[in-house]
Amino acid sequence: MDIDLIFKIAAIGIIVAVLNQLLVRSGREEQALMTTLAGLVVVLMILVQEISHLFDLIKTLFQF
Amino acid sequence: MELVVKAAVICVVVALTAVLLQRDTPEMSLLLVLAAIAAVMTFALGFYHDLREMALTLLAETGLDGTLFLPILKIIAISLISRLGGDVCKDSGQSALTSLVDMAGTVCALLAAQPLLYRALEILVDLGGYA
Repeated sequence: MDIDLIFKIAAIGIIVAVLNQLLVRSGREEQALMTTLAGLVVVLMILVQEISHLFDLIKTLFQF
Repeated sequence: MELVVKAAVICVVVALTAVLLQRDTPEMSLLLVLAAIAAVMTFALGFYHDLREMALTLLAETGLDGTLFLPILKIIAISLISRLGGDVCKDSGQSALTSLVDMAGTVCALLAAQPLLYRALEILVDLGGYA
């Protein structure tokens, strides 16, 4: 099982949340938003591959 | 047994982390949940071949046509995907998208069930004696 994927995404999420809070508290809301967006894009890029692999597996196993 | 223990542990850990991330970055929380779904489903589908072999053996014992089994497999997959997709949309507060996913799943399941419905109709016509 690809548990490493979950840990990677959880770590990115925590880092993004911490950076978001730091930047918002220091009055840099735009940079906080940019950081969140960057984290989102990175996680989406990882996740899209895994979900694509999952759907290919479902297609093969269930003979679609 | 290994599957259910691993799935339960991973889902509980991910749920806790998702609650932590929900306050500040709800989008990351949702993506983490999606990652857990992808990982656990990939692991669970690894046991699919054993289940399929058992089902085919039972089907052979009953003497039923094996081609009628394929629509059932497809409907199981469609229900899994639409259920999980709908629940993810519901968790993010988008009930309209949940309804849309459910509707798409229903339409796909009806299309996949066509061979079964035609077969049932043929049997009814034969039994009724209609030409």
